[in-house]
Amino acid sequence: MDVDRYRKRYEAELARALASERRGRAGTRSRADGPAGAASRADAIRAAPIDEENLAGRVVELLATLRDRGEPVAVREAALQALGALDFLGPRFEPFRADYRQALREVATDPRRRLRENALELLAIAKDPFAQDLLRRGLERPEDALVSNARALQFLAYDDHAAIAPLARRVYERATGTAREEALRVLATDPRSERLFARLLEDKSEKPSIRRISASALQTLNPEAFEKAARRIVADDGDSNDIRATALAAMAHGREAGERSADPRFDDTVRALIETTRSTALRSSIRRFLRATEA
Amino acid sequence: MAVPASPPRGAVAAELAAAIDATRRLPDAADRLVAMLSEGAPLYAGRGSNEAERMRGYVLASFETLGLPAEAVPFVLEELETGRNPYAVAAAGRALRGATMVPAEAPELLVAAIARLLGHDDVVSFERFAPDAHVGNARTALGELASTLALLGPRAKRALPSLRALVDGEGASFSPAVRAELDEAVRALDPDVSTPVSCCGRSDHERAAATADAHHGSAAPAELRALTLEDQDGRRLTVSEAFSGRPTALAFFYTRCTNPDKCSLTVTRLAELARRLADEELDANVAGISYDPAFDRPGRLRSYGADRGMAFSPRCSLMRTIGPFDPLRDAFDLGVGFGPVTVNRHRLDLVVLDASLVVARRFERRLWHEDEVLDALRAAREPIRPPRPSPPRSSRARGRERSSGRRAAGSR
Repeated sequence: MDVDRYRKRYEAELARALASERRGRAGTRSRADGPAGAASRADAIRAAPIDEENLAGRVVELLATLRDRGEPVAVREAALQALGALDFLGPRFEPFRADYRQALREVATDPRRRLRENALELLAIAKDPFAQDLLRRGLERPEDALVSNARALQFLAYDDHAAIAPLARRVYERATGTAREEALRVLATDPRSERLFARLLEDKSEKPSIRRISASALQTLNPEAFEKAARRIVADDGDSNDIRATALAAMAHGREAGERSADPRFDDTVRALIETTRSTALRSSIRRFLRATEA
Repeated sequence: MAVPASPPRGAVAAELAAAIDATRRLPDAADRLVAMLSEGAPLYAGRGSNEAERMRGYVLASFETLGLPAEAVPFVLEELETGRNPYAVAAAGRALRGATMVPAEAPELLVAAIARLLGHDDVVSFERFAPDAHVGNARTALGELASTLALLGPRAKRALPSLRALVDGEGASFSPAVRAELDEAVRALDPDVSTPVSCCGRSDHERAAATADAHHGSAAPAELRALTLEDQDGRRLTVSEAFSGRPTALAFFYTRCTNPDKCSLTVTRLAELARRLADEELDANVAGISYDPAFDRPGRLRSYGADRGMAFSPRCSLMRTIGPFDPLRDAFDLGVGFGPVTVNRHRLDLVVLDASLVVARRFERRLWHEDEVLDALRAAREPIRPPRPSPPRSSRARGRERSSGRRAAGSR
């Protein structure tokens, strides 16, 4: 068989299918329709049922719309959403997977921020090397950043083999706010960051969100070290009740059903605490902990 | 221009590509490129899995035009058998086109690779190293593999039944372009032309030997015997305490491995192996040791093993080193590379030790089967007498050997 001839025949069939679909929507594809027209076209794309008979034509049109920078962004976003829904078809979407991924790569550098962010996230979930390169470059050189530092780290964290821990550590040191938190989330699977999390968890001057991330990370990296730190925090009346509640709940969660307590004195401290604390969160965590311990 | 034997450690992608391109032009390009395929080669150190896989793929694809040397064949077959990265697997398919004689099992592995990558197809290009969103005349990984089958033609006819079954069963899941290439492959394989198939190829029963033909008779060095391990229950014991006195099947794995055909399958098969040993009342150890000891703490090892059917006992365990993994990597010459946080790539490695901790048999790079390992354990009940004890090599000497790449991993 002549592969080129087969491919051309297929492309001609697709073009015919596409033309037929476009005729079926006459009057709805004018770019001069303005925002209202764009919105109704976007709605139409989202509402279109899956046509098994003409799936190829539908995907080709959606991919073309997504790639077309002359189309209104609302229409392109609707096309991206529709493609995302078709992705759930599994085997029936397989013939289009490589084209879809390539279209996402094109859109990943689109001038429209929300569109490129959505494309980058979909690629990052698939651990796509092209997207990872773009995101990494943006963290190293802010002038090349396609998304915020926080989003870039969040996307890169989908792949714990992406070797971004050194970069996350640098972002953690220079950033504030969400980017700093996301950097810590990346480091949560890096055993070399264990001491950092142990320090942050017990640092009362840190934001509660940072200490919560640190609690979760330390429990993942070294459950024994977490347990020791958590006991100190729970027993410390001067610490935040929310953090004490978080630490205790995590201890309960990390305990296997029926597991005997390693420290009966600590259990007594917890039982006494329920009588004195007014914190609802802490009381709830105490009950959970005691249930886990006494199960 | 002076060309380095391998790209500098820490080099960026463009430097890597330039170094590999320059190596391709050297008179001894094939040898140098084979050396670059070793997981422990310095060029992979500190990189992420995607980057390491892409570099290997770029190197592998070179053999299409350079010719596929026998030393590179195990790497190609490994990739086709268990690879999950579309770029690297497609590159292995490309490399196969450079073989003067096609390994007997390669066509079947090509078909299996197509089936495995179905659902993960991607555009690939070997013209340049960096991934590109605007590849002209784009081909996909599945298209590359199908095209290799077609190019092999009657030499791959052994795979015709499985190829037909795949096309008949999954035909609707392939893109028209890939489907056309597969149809072309079916036609190309079909004619009943008798062509010699194999030089470096082996039949299935020979494959077992290929995976297990490395025998090591040297005694375990004292530092290895004294190395401390920790099992899934937190018990600490030395290598000698854990394994001396009876044969041992020792495999390597890590719980963060994302390839279901590697670590997950290894531990599942270790569990089955332990059951078979118990049934046969064969006194032997079965153990897995993690490449990632800082992350794979006892609780994690316990749940990972239990989920895969391991019935833990003093003779059946999952373990980690206390401290770095390097002593084990050096002692058993394991094929594993590391990024900044965890493993970036590894081959399959299982060693059978005799009662005095001498390596009696190795299974590396290719999938092993419980029957083969059971045979090796039975044979290992008789201690091996090393022909001539050799002094332990220094780790620096081993490092030099590895980075010079003169000895391809898996070719021993």
